Amino acid sequence: MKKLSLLVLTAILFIGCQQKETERYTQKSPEIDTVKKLIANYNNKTYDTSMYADTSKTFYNTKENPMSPGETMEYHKQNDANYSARSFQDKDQEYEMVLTDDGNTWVNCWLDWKGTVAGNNQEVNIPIHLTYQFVDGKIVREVGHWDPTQVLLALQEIEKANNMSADEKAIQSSIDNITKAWNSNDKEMMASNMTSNFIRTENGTTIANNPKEYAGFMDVYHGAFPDFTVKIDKAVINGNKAYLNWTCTGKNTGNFMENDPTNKKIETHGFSVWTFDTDGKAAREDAFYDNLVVFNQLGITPPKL
Amino acid sequence: MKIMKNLLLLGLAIVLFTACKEQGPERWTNMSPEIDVTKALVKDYEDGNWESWSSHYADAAEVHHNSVESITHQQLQDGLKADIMNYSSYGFSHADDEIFFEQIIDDKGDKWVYFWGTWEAVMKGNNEKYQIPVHLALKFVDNKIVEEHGFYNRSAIDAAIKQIADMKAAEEEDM
Repeated sequence: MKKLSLLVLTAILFIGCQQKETERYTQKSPEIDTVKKLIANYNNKTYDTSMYADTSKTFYNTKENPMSPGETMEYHKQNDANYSARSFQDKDQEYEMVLTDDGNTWVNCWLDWKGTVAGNNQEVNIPIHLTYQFVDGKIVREVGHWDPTQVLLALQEIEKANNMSADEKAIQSSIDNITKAWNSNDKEMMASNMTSNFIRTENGTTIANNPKEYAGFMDVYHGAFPDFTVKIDKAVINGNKAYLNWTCTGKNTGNFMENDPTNKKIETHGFSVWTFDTDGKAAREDAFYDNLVVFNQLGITPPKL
Repeated sequence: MKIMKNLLLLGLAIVLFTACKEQGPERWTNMSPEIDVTKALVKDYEDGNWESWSSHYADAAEVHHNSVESITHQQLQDGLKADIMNYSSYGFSHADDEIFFEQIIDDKGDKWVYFWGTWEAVMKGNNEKYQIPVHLALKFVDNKIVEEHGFYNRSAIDAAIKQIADMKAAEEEDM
């Protein structure tokens, strides 16, 4: 009898202790499921406030002026206008529930959010921390921390583009056409966006004195890399000049400056200052980049030049 | 023999109970050596005591501040050092309801310290006061930080820093 009671005591203590442990910290609970549902709702743009208590307060990146559940949904709806797509990512999601010394139940989560800015198709990745206090299965407090700087800068750039002067718009349009011409090796389109005395320098040395010589230069790259692509990473227009950060990619399947094809891919970054005339036509490109990077990526050492 | 068995059972009961008492509070606590390290880290940042600040990190620590890409703790330190040049005063509010430290052990057995605080600073260039809620999640191994994730909104201070720099540049152009 004594033995049995001891055994029972042991069992009770052990089970009791296991329960206590799950109460202080767990990665599975109905409250966690509620937060997961809230995140899924956000992804599906279902703006349901039923998981919040009516008096719940939401603090996003602020200690003051909390939002009610209704205002929180309105906040999400307004921000949706900025994106052509946005959602929390399935990868690297972490959820947990803790019971603090004050006896408060909180669900903490850490998520990656990805959005595409509607005005310029820029992709933005933002890590976000959200934490939710629960009472009787309802959210009574929501706190969020993240850095929206990338989105705000993109929106400012878009606003700036919308407010461009006629001259700046003409330059932007030429930059768009020059990029298109490069990517389709369209030498006619290129020439139509240039002045007849167009000059190109490469690291300070003149390599083309007119659109025809520039066309020959395009052929060098398109001959060696038939899928040659130029991407403008950043464009700043100031007066009659445009400052462009660019990235070129391509697979080397043809002869490149007297070197045999290597079938290797290149990715190289550079910077160009373009000067435009009063009609928005390109008069000059001063380009700066490291050709050795390309030869190293192709495994050509020393390069035949 | 019977006494032996009873003794054994009692022993088992004590062992289980003790083990459980020790294990229970460890899953969530607001007092631990790792929390003390985190408090020292915050103080070292506030005092600009960078050598001591570095000592809290493992050499290969992975740091993510508002980014999916990681940097080293040395790069973070360089960034923080450059950033604090913008302020006449900076630090965290130490009021009881403004600063929180917690430690959990997750299902993988990893030990994490969480920090929630309000960062406050006065910008030199415009004398304005800024307040930013900050969350840090720090993974510890052998009492050293091996992984750090920071979440906070820098947009207001970054905009102010840029505006002040633009104004300075314009003034220099006028001179």
